[in-house]
Amino acid sequence: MTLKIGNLQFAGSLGGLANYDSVSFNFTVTSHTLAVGEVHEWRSNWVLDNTDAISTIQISYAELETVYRYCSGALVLNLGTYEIETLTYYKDDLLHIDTFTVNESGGSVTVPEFIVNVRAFLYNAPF
Amino acid sequence: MSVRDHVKDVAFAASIPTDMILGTFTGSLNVAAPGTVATAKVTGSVSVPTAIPEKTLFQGIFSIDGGVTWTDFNSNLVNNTYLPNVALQTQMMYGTSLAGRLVLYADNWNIYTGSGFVAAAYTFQYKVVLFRIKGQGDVISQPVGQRLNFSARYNYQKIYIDSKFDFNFAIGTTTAVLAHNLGYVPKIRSYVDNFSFAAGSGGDSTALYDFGYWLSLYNIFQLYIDETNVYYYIDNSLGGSNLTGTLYTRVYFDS
Repeated sequence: MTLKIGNLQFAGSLGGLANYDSVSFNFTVTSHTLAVGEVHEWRSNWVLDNTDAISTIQISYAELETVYRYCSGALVLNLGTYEIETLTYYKDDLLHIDTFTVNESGGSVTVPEFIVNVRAFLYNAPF
Repeated sequence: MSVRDHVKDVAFAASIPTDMILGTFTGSLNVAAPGTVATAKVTGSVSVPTAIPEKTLFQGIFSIDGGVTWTDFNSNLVNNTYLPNVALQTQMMYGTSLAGRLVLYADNWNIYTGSGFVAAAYTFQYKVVLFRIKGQGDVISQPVGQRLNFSARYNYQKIYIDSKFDFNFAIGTTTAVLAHNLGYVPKIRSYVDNFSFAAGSGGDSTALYDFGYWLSLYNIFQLYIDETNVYYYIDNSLGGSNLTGTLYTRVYFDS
């Protein structure tokens, strides 16, 4: 059956993405100094079983900003003398967050304390 | 009074649009082991016919351990086996939507151990769900894995804004804004189509990508949200020409 999707607000034969589960957690990246070319890693995880689900994740770096960033796998944020790179992935029924601070300058850099806020949402897909 | 004024009290209402799933696709592709020289990678790909004559929005998950664990497209499985060396680029899948097909890609990198590189072949299993794009034309909906595609019991994501805008960003930095004024930070999805940047980056400038794919690779793109707006920041300072394409963004009610 051909459906004229553009004219439809709703169709009983076409479901949406059902809200399934969500978590909100955070961890602190304490103030630290990066030598030239140095990288520091900070890890956290939270129980979130994504079996047969797709997700959307938002990341906020509190104390540095007030917005949430759309994250699909990885975020790379350049702050001039250093970068913050955050990777997200699911493994062993956990949502893993790996945040790295990377020195991008020619000298040592002091990174102020910030908090990585994570919001993760799961949706059932009819796989 | 409108139902949209009381969204938090409503599990479902036919007057509030949902994403409309058009089909699900599952399969696998084998990707050979890369070499053991520095930063070697092999990329496999598969073209999946969809029988839908236009591009669609999509999201996918993949597994490299036989379906035991699943990871979202655009995510790498960080490998901490060889500490203090941490492998950030390991195995990842991503996808593009084109008329009549999905083209899915799987990256397989080798891993630095501290004294050399190790590499292995992988079978990437994937599951992809397709849902309608703004302005979708006539489609024949495709099979889905589960018997029931819709149930009024489920709290489907409710679309508040379904935005499409063509952009032409000049050389320099640009911040484009999509106002939502919801008073809270909403969930969103964002995709980019016919992205001129893709051509110079080894991608397909005729395809539709999850915008998150580009966010994950380049620090010149940012997409962030507050209680009032969605912001797109593009740093085209080093570009030799304007950046063009079409951005699709879906802003959802929170309940």
